[in-house]
Amino acid sequence: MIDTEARSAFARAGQPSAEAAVTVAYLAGLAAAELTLVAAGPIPGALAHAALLLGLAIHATMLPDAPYQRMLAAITLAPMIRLLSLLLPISGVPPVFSIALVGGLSLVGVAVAVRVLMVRWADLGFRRFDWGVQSIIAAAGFPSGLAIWVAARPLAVVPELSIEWVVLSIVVFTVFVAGVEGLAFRGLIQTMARERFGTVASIAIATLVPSVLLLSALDPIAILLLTALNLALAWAVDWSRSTVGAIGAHALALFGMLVLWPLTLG
Amino acid sequence: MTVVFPEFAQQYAASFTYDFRTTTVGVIAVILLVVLLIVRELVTAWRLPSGVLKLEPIDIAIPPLLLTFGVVVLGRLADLL
Repeated sequence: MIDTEARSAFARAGQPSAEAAVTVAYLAGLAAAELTLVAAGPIPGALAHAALLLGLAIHATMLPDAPYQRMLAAITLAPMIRLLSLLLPISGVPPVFSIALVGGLSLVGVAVAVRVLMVRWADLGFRRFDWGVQSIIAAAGFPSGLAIWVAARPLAVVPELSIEWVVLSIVVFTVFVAGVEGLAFRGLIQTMARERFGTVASIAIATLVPSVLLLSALDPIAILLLTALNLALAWAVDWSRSTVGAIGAHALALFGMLVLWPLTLG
Repeated sequence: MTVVFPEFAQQYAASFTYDFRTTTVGVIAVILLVVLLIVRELVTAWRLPSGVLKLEPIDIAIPPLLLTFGVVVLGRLADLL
């Protein structure tokens, strides 16, 4: 009897480290799939991301309902977003339209994930939040965007700085990029990871998943700065218990580095 | 510079035709969708009595991939017309 209890206690104690190891393996798989994309081309890269998505989805479905299962299910959004970004872009039009198309369909996946994982909008910090704190967090996106643009000089995604293009890009960046990434990585994945692994690990996971998907940027300084931005956003979400400010900061940073600075200072 | 649409995807879209992308990465996505749907049916049959529909983690990727399939088919139909 004592032996059985001791063994089950030992098994329970060993479970988090096993789950942490599996999570690290999936993150390594995501990095490997992204590096395959860069090194071997889009077809092997898409195959690697599809295999990872299938593995994650089946693994999460087979596990009993628990925060760890829900975290793995939320991570399936990462390879899914990458597959959509390879397949959907439209050539011959400003990139902002491709971003809207990929982000729009990714948003469908995020909405389904919120439903499947039974996450309440209040859990993502949408119901009650401090406007002052969230506005300060959002404002931090402005200098971040300038710093990233100065370091990496990305090209503009719209042809000119007119009212129409500015409004369109702000809507697209807020809803289809910052909204999608904020809800997927810092909303769902970070919330689930915090329930299972605690604050520090959840911030690390919510930083690493989007940062790994930026490995194809190829510019080490850009990757480093975007990783720092992801870390700051994940920390802000954890500290303020809301994704609203982080979504605003991300949207402002994107608007700066992909519209405002390239078209005014570039 | 974004996860949703990185520079690599931008270059890929500019370097390869829509036809090429839909017959390579598109085929991979369609095969993935079919496999996910088959696994989903197996899981439903294994876990639940017939007629009961319960959302599973495997469902997360199915609607976006179905919509993507629809967008690709519409794009190719538009090319034909």
